[in-house]
Amino acid sequence: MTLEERAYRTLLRLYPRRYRLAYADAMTQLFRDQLRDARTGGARRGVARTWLSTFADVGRSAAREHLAGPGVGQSLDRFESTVPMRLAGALAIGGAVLLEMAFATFEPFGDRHVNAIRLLLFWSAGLVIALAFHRRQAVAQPRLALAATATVVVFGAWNIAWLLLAWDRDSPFAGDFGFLGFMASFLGWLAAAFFGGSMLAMRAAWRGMSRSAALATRVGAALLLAGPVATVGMDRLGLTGSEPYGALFGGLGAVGVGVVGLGWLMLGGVLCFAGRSSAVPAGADQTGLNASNG
Amino acid sequence: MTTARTSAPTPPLSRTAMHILLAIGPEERHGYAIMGEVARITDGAVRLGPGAIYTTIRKLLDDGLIEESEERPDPELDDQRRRYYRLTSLGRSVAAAEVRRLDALVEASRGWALRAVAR
Repeated sequence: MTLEERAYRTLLRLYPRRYRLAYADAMTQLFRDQLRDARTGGARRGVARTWLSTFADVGRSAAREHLAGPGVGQSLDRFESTVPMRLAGALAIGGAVLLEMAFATFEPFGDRHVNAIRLLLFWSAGLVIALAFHRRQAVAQPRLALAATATVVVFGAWNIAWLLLAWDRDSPFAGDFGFLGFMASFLGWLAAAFFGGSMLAMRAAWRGMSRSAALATRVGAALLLAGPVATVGMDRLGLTGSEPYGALFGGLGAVGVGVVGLGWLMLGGVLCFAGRSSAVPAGADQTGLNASNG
Repeated sequence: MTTARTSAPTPPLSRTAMHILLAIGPEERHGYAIMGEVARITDGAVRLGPGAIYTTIRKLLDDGLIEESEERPDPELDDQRRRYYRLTSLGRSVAAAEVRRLDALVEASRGWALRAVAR
């Protein structure tokens, strides 16, 4: 293989693995033909132009091939580790980690805008996870799965919208606007608990996973049950200002937020790391993966 | 790995898919021949790269419009074995439908479009 062909084979790594296994050799052969034609034309400019068009060709077609592949829900259904699934998992992990870092520095709220970014990513993470697991769960109990997913999506989106609208407001927590933010947050935490409880009840989310992935999924779902605890630290409920247990409620609320964050972190990790390689054809020898994780 | 469809995908096809179907035509062609034929029938206006060709071939195989025939060398090129493709009967139907659609389009527009160019 020439240096140019090696360089081209490196570019081909941008394609999904399954596609690459099927077509990399044929594409390399065609690229070799193109280079030969460019050289036969006698002009070095031909070779440079061939490389330029190759970069454009690979960029466009690789992106299209990734988008044509299974979406996150389908990947999770077949438990294939695809780029969309990993990206969704990475977003979920990122959102959860940023929130947990706030607790590690003992400054849970910090600067208002920094906190807003943390929460934006955090709620986006929840939204992505709920959507990713929906398809698996809908097979078992469609209505419950829809209700569980919809609550996280609706209240997650509400939180995201409120955070964006509050960005430049002087006193976002005051008045009716502040009340909307409070309700978004309050209902969002309850929705997380509902989602986690539904996952545990339906027992479908971890079907077919390895033991460790199934365990991580169940633990992640269980951690989401701390959602109501997160609400006790909300100022508008008045518990944090009460004597003599105000500080206790504040601390409990922070712990609740941290525990839910860990739940999203674990579920994001399942999306990111636990899928099979997509080189294994979907549906092939599922029985080997059906450890009794029920 | 995939099951070919038994019903035609709804036209119109993507331009690249249409060019490849028409380039293959009644023959069996490999990727390089498809690339050359597309350039020829479009008078050089369309030049497809390996990525465009093979991602589209993958989709056409999935849709059951083409099938792969045995690998063999092309005596006019080199001794390397190449993957040849041919249209299935479904692919021929879809290609014919696409040509009829384009023919009707050209017929409907010929009068004013060519007059506009002539001016």
